[in-house]
Amino acid sequence: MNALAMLPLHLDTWIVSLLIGVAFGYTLESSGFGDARRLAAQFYLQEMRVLKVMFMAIVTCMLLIAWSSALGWLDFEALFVNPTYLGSGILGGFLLGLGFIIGGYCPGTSIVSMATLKVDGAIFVGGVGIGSFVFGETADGFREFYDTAGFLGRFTLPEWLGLPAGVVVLLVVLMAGFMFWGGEILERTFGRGGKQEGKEQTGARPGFWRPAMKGGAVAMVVFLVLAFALPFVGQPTIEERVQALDAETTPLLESRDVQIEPIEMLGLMHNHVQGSLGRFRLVILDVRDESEFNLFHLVDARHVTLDELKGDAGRALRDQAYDTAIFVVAAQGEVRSTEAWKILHAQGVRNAYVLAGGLDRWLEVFRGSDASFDTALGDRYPFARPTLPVFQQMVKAEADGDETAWKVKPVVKAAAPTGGCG
Amino acid sequence: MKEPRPYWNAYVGGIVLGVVLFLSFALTRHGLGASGGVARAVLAAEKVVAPDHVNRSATLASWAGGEKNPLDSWLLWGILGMVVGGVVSGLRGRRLKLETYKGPRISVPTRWTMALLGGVVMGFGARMGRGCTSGQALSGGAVLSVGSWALMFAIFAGGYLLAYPLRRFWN
Repeated sequence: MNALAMLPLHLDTWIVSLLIGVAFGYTLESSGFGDARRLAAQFYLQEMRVLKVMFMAIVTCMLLIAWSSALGWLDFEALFVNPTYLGSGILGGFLLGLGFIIGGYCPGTSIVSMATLKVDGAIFVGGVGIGSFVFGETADGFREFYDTAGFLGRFTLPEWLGLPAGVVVLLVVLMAGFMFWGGEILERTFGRGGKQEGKEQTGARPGFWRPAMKGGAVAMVVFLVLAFALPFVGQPTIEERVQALDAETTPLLESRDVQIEPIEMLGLMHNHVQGSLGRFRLVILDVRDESEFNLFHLVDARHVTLDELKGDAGRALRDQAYDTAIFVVAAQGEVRSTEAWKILHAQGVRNAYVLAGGLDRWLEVFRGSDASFDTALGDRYPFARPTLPVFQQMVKAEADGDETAWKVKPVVKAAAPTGGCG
Repeated sequence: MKEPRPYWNAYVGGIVLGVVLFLSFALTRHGLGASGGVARAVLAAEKVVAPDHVNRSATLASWAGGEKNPLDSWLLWGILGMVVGGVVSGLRGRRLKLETYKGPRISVPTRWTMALLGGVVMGFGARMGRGCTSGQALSGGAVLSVGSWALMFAIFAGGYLLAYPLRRFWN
């Protein structure tokens, strides 16, 4: 595992966005996507340019991601994966398809068409603006459908199919290869050849192995080899991801930026963040053994094992339902909670903290004695959540002495990047 | 005016596009986007004209309400870059020319009307689908999002469904 340069870099600056946009626009225009006729030809099976460019791009990028992830250079969990909304997604996609054949562009292609002074492209861009406006004005009426119909959160094909990522990547490459092969046959059957003026010939030419196809075939062979090898390399396990992220997590842990003192924890339990009321959802994860949890635990704490955090239960914490969540991991001391925190980090869960000193310190502060219990009262002890006045007094007392060092950052909704066209 | 240069081979274009998409993921964590930038520009205008209206609507407020500035987004920089990239590629390919691309059997005004209509449908659909061909089909497709793949197939379904009735407009 290479722990030095873990991708993605978090370069969300305007200059990076601009440069990526330049490359994107240049590529689209050079690939012929600024011409509505060539895009529409896809739907008349005359020219499969849309299919070829799109699937080649998807396969290329997918293989680059899968391989850099397999080699430990890139943390897939940190990437934005469009959340799945089957209802609005399929309806929206269907409308996109209708708009595509009516207007001849999609939003991205119309922008490069406009850039090359095509009047139809510019008008289409205006139409996209109007359509967005109409959606914004009407969406309140179907908000529930929009937000909930078929909502599955971050959900990938490997998770859906229950197959290893490498196998799914291979299947996608095979599917793309099959589609390219079919596309070539369709182009030769329905293609217009050189009938349209001012364009390169794209249709039937003598011989199956046109030069244009040779390139594609060579690329596909390379891609297939890469895809076949992938399942043998495998994707990093959660343990390996924890290890790979060491360079990122160690400084955070050593500077004690993520360990919160009992006073701050108590504040969180009373909806205080940074010493004042805030809006967030507190999720307390108790990673001790279940018997200890039953004896005593914090109010609203959830018992969870490290193994559960490594699996689906950990992944589920990235869900949209936790968009505004602040996670605090509690253990007896700090060893197991630090381990849990690392797992959460590797699962792509941010806004997670460790209860400093664990419940031992908590009990010392709020109970004034050690952690021995005769009866299993769970969270029915007063010190399972001391009252708000207790917190306020503590803050006051600390203000007289040294300043309280608040560590929990207030959460803003959509801490994850808004992806795609969102 | 000289003849426009031929376009790239579609497979080469796809590979280059895939590398650009990967760079976007590797540098910024997210893929590419287009329609969102247009939507945000519209929202910004709406906010200037009717800020109260924006704050009252749950949908509009979630994008541009209160302190939120819809222009403060990578999507808009991306669009600006796309225009620059499109101009450069158009110049290089000798395609920078004021004209209208249309099927051979329809008039220019008809083509413009269809472009507007298609744009409106697509603008609405892109917001409904939380992304367009770039942000969903391409970006979400590459990271194997189930929703993005469903949306991608829905695009092709919608396109092929109307292709035959609309053949006069393109052929």
